[in-house]
Amino acid sequence: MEFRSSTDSLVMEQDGVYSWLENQRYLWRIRWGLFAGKLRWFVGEIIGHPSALTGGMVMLLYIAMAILAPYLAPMSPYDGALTSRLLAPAWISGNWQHVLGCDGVGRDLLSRIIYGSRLSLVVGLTAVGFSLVVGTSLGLVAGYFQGRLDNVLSRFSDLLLAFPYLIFAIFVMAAIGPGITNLIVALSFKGWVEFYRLVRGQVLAEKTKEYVEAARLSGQSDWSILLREILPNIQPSLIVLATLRLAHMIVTEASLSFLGLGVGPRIPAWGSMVNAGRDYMLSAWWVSTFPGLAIMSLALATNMFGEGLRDILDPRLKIE
Amino acid sequence: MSKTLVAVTGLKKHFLIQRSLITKLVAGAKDQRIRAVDGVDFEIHRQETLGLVGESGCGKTTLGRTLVGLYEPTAGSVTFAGQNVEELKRKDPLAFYRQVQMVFQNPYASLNPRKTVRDILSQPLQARARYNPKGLEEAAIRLLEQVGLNAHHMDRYPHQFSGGQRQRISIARALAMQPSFIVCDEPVSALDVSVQAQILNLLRDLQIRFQLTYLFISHDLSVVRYLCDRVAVMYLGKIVEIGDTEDVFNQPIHPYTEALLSSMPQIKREPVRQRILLSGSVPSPLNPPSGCSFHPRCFAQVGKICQQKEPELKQHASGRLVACHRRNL
Amino acid sequence: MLRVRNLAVHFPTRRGTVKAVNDVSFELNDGEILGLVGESGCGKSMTLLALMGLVPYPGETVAGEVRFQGRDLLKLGRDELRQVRGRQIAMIFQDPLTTLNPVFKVGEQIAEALRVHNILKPEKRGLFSRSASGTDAIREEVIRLMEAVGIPAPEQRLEEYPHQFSGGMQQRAIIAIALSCRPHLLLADEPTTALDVTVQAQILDLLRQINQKEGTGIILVTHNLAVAAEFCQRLAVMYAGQLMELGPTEAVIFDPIHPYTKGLLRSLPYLVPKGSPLVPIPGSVPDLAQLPRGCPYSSRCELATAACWEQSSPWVEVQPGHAARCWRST
Repeated sequence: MEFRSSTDSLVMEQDGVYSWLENQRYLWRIRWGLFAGKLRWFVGEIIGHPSALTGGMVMLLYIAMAILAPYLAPMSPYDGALTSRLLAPAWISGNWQHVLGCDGVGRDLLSRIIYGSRLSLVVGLTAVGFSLVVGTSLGLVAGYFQGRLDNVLSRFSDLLLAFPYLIFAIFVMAAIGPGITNLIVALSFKGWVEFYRLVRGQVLAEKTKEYVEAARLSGQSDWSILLREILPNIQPSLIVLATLRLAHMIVTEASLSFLGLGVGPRIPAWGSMVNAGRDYMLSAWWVSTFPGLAIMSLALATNMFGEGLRDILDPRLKIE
Repeated sequence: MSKTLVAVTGLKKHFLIQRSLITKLVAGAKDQRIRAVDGVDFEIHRQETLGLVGESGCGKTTLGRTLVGLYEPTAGSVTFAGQNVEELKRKDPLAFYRQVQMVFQNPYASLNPRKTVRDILSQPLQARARYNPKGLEEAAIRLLEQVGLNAHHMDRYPHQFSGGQRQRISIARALAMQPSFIVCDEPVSALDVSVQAQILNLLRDLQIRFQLTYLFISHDLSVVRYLCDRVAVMYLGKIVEIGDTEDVFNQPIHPYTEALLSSMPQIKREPVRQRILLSGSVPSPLNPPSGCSFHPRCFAQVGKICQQKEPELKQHASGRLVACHRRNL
Repeated sequence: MLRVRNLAVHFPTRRGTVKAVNDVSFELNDGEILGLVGESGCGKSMTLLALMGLVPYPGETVAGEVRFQGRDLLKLGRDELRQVRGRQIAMIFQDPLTTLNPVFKVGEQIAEALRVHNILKPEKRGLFSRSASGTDAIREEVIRLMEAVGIPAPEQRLEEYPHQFSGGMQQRAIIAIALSCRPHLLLADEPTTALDVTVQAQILDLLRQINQKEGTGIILVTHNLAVAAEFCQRLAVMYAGQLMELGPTEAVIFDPIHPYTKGLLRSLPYLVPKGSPLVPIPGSVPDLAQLPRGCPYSSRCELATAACWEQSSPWVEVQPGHAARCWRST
């Protein structure tokens, strides 16, 4: 095969004027500029979207709470004094040492709620992260290459979807026993399916677009097309879905904890705290109510943030 | 160096619609075969522009994509500079794509919305040769300048450009591989007329500058007449007429060509010549008519032979290739 | 027949008010075919929608007068306007598939149009008393309409669903719906853009027949100058929301006044000899939210002077019936 020389005006340059390092710096500066531009746009959009802004702020608040728990919590979340059993919140009849009162074994509620955010967020984020990675990788491969693997995975995901989420998680937890790791396993066991289906569907749609064919004509391999061309186009929907799933995971974790299928009784978990206060609902309502409010506010905030992200990043998804 | 750059012989591209076993049993559905390209022979000469015209669904886009290797032919072969394309692709796909590129129709779908122009152009440049970073940047800028853009456009995303500018980027990306043959699939049909003229001029200039060969697929006959040296008319997966553009436009031989050209709207002072209105529309390529696939709409049938025998593409006295049973035209 | 005066449609956006239609005036004579041509975004479709009172939110018809049969359509109430729409003015859109409802049979959709406008009243209304003769009359009328627009074998095809029709047949069905009320005026928004040339010729031929037989006035919106040149008696050229030139087709095409019309014609491959380059209009269409103070074309016009940039150009009638909005024609 002959190559023409007339157009070879684009032959490789000899050593450039700049060193390799300088060039890398230059390129990174450009990339940073693009990223900063996107960031500025994103922040502007969030600020212009009240519910996303509120949700995001509340989420940040809880995350900060989880990280700074040892410094924020006024008391130990593990030890209680029998003298302060079922102590009422400060503004009712208690004292300002236990602002939100105490539970049935005299542990400070505020401290337990602050520490409880750790479990909710760690379990939620890890489970979502795990589901995201597994679901996305499988979805990318299945959607792009289709064939038998796609058939098997899709039928399996259909099968998993036939079970209600919570019942499935209860089943898994009952089988493998309590514990943080087991909780994450139980939640991600089915959690990847949503990501798988989203990614697979979007890959199927994206791969017929002309830019994919153009990439092939530029000599890119299948994997390169999948990761460098298609994945960035799915990314916004993935971020949205991940946020929305996070809210769901947090609620499910709380439900499992409520049913006593979460972690051991000593570790503060919002769900088990709600359960522990059930018996005192009439006499000491605060024992259940405050952890319940914590679950609700975090889940609501995450959902609001997720819906806001959807409006901003991926208007297409609104239709669903 | 032979005159022919691309030779297509007996090319067929069929798409199978496979139904699952259950739908077959329950609904009685059958596997179907779309005969998008159904036996096509032609040659493209070096440094010419061959126009490919036809109505939607006639298989012209499929044919273009098969030529650049995006689809594998069902039967027949394509040779490029004397070598079989399938073999070339198997041996070294990159070497093949360095010779053959494509410009797509939709300037909105053909550029990845999440990549900057720099990324879009760097990819093919690096596939073509090894560059140091500075060389890569300069090469990309040179490409942009060749298509009438400049260095300021390097770090922008596709949505920041107008349709015409996007089509320029698309052309730059194809040029990055320094191909000798470019398939242009309706490159201007999504653009406004004033911008369309800019792109047509650009394509013409680039052809002269880089000695390019084009296959220009279009449904806009006026554009084809302006730009193309020769023109091939496609109907239902087959080529019915192929010849020099002016000859074909002035004196169409195949009845379909005649009807197609007469329905083309004109801007002319003299009154419009008698229009041949075809009845009906293009039959489905799922189930093409027997014999000559144009016979159900044809106004110049010569007898039963039209329904029974498929006409071959034969050399006509004027040097044109025509597939029609009509004689002494 | 139809007289449009100083029509203006504005869209508020974040970047400012987009003047989608800006001071457009024209009239349509009885039984005439007027072509409204221009590039995408020039406001030609919006003008049609404004005539029908169908400007989509958040757009608003802020000024103007649309006089049709002695009434100003812009001042009519919603119900009155609905009576006019469909009864006296019908509209055809670009994409036939989105206009037809995919879940109803084509015949039913045409019959529905007849019923809505009470063209043929079944003798008794009501759930059980719908007389056979009434429905039969409708059925006959549907068949007559389908025949009129050239749908072969209407008795069978009225039982079919839109997806069983080809693109050209779908457009014919839509024309049948539009014709069901025997409108005086037909507004066609790019009716052949989605179709192939051979089918385009059929549809244009059909529209011309309707125009000649029934005397229906037609406004054809199209970006295809050649189609407009062949089909229309008069042409109106729009650019960036404004009417740039208006005149008899022959005059506009072969003796254009406005530099934009000239530029548009020069960039078409029809009139340029083979091998010589086309002369494209430099640059691109300006942002409608940030139009220059003067002529919107001044940024691309070779002949632009200071006056063009500063002051909006006057509407000048150069020859009887042939006018343009340009300083140079004064």
